[in-house]
Amino acid sequence: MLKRRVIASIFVKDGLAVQSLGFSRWLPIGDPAVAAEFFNHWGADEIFLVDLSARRDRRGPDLDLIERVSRACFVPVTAAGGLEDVEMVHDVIAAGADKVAVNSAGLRDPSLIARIADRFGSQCAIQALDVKNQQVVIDAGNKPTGLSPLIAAQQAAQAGAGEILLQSVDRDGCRQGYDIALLAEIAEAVDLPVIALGGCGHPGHVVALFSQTQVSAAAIGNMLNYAEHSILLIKAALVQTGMSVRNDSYADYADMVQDEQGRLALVAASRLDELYFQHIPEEVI
Amino acid sequence: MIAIVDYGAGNLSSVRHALHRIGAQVTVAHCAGDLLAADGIVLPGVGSFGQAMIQLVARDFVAPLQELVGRQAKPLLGICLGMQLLAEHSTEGGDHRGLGLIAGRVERIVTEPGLVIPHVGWNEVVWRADTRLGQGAHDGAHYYFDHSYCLLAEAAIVAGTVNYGVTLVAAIESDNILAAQFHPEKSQNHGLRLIKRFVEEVAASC
Repeated sequence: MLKRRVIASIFVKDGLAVQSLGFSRWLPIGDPAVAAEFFNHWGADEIFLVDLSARRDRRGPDLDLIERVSRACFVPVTAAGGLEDVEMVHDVIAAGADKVAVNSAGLRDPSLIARIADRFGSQCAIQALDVKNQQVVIDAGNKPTGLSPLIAAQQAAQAGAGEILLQSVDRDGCRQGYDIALLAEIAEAVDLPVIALGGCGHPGHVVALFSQTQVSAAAIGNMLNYAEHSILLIKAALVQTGMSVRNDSYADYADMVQDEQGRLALVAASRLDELYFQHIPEEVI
Repeated sequence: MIAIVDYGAGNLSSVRHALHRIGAQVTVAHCAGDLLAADGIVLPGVGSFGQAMIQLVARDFVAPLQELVGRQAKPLLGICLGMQLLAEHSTEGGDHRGLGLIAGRVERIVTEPGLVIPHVGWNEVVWRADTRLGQGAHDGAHYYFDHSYCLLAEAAIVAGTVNYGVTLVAAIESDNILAAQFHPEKSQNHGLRLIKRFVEEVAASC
């Protein structure tokens, strides 16, 4: 059966991968291509690449960034940030993206989604919705639209979107968990896959998201940068609660215990010794 | 040399990276002439059937593909929409004829209530052991799917299936044609293994 996805988000500002806090503060992480390489190895089901600087000066997407990041990814890459017309979508896919997410432009003009779907297929066209104080906001969280998330999601579905990405501005960087109530409502009401983003602080939050809502995917940003194998730890937590995920890695942490904060419990020295001498040859295709 | 067909859409870059990773020499075919020198052809995905066929017709790809792949048996790998385009007909974006290189048609996925369309994410393919693709594949392997339409084809050419409330065709093979509904270029090692199989068949055919 289809597995739910754990999506690694990389937010890029002026070419640098950053942690995002409430859409208003950004802390540097490093090279986005390096982050992508790690996430690709750590079991990410998709990469979500957001160029926060793309809208400035209306220069359009940074194709070089997309090319460098997607080169390392043998999982799908969704590109987002300042996408305003079908030609930009074409360029972004030619540069290495496999899907795109439109935000403000798609809300101002839903026919954009229809035009992207017409040329690239609806499955390629994601409508991203930023939600603050229970309403949809655009222009990097600065402008309220007066639209409810539900109406916006339904409009996007009607326009031919393939997926909805629902991001909570309020919870961005808060590490207190996803907005479960909102996500449960939207996922239930809309006949499209819903991707949740905003607030994930530890693996338990993804467990709660998947147990309490029908979303198809958990997108995670900041938290993935706090620990090695972060995505693998999330998947291990999901498996331990009985959920199925896709895992192609030998590092399944199956016999290891995490506390509620997602920290691994101390492992016996004898077990560490065993791991130390276990040789896992890299598969050469 | 493997040529990837450019029909105005398609995730050409991703396909190119995967082929490079396997060590193949790759070019992008912007017109039929670019296909003549190729030892193998890839028809990529990420598009819409209606627009893709309109472009294939406008760019004069249809007859050359039918000749090279259908009659001269040049190896072809179809990916996602690229597999669907091989069929005779699709209802996506209106009523459209396909390339007719395999018997079959494409229709919108109909599945259990509660399962949303598109079918997107990683899902397990059940392979037929007596097929070329099946022999190279691992049990329980997951591949990345992202589609709202599916291929309906004869069992004889179906090499792999996937369950999404209903059984869907995941991969087909027929003489010189290998094709997948999922994206092998975006399915990590399991996908790269399939692409490698194609590259090897191209090399063997030269």
